[in-house]
Amino acid sequence: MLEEKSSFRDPSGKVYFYSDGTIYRYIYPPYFDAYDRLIESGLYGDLISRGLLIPHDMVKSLPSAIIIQPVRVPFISYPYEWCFSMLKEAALNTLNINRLALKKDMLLKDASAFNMQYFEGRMTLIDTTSFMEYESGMPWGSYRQFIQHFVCPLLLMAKVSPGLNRLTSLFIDGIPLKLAAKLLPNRLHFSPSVLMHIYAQSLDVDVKGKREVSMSRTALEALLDNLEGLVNGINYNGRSLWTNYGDAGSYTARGIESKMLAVTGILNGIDKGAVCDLGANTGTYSAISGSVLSVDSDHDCIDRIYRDYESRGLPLVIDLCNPSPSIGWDNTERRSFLDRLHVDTIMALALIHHLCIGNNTPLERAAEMLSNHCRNLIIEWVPPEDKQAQKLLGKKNIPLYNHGVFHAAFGKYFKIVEAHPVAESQRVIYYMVVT
Amino acid sequence: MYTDPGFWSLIIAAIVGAGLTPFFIFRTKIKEWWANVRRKKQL
Repeated sequence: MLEEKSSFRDPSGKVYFYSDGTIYRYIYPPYFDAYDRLIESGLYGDLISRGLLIPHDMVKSLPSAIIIQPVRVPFISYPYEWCFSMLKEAALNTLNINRLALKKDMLLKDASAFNMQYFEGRMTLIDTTSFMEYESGMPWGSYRQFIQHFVCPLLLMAKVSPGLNRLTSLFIDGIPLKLAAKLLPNRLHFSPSVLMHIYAQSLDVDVKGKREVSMSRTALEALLDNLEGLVNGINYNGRSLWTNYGDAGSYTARGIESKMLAVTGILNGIDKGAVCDLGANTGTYSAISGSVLSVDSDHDCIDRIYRDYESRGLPLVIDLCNPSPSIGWDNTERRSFLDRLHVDTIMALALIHHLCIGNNTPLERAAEMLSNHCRNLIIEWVPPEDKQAQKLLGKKNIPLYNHGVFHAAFGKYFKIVEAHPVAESQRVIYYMVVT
Repeated sequence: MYTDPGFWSLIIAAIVGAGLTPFFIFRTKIKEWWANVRRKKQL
């Protein structure tokens, strides 16, 4: 039994993993009353029926701990890997959960974005011990945390650059208000909500003779309503070069057809299991393969996948040349992307030239990395003579990027099972299995 | 709760909440009235 490394902060409970992959959450006596209220008030049932909270089974109730078994989230992702639309949905669901909790005389005691995960197509709260009993006059203690974890990154992504979401990996408890206030454009001073929630709050005035702050239930509801309006009003509709890239510029119509036939033929003929589409672009092949994970370094592509595909897997913004590292306490609190990536099949279509020409990664290092995370590989060879490869090459000289070295490098880690040339192109789709 | 709520942040929350309360009550009443009107129309 292993303790989940990120649950050490919470005195209400701990999460443990068993070797068979099952998860147990141990709830300790200080949280017993709140847990009972969560269940007995009907809040748990209400949140489950709306898909806002991860379901769990009661395993055992002991004097020292209540043990529950939550449903396992297939792939744990972090806010700095999410696109704008995912973070926005997580923010709105957090507010919705809080509003439903307040109706049952409870409140969210944490508003951490890390408590939200992508589960069955939506952003869901996974921390069953995030609730506390509401007492009359009580303010929402996680208000600042909500602003730092959700509102600041959403505004920075929408108003400055979507790439600024990666700031949340540097500031694990949310983007500091003073930093957000400095980075945001000055014109946002004219938005009353932003003025109060960010600029005024960032002043952090040291009030002397501190007393208890109280606010009525209606004022609390009004605050939640205002935050919902603020989040709903933050919009991002970015279109990068890659959102319109697709296959059109790289293949003829026959080429696209033959690539599609090759990929579907391979997928239909193998026990594909869980598929991860690396370099997913706008998700055409993720949809065909039923990928559980679609990865691309371009934010706008991932945002488009999230908005356009209803039956999508988890789309994540990851730069494979610099994937998310392990961060937090002891470098174990949030695991690196590659440490979490264990799938049956990896698709790497039109990706290898970006890794090996764009980033100068030797082909053998690329083969080694891919072999560590899957058992099947569907990979597209893009020769140096290809139009797109030539664009990346420019005046670079990479003599070891050629078909011979590709065969030797991948042959060291994989057995090449099938090769399908793409019509009217020099590209080849390979199916390989890890040796 | 393991995050310090921040005294100044709670003051801001209270100011925003209290300031918006009259508007929020008015809007809630309008919504209720409109829902009643639609319900009666359906009947």
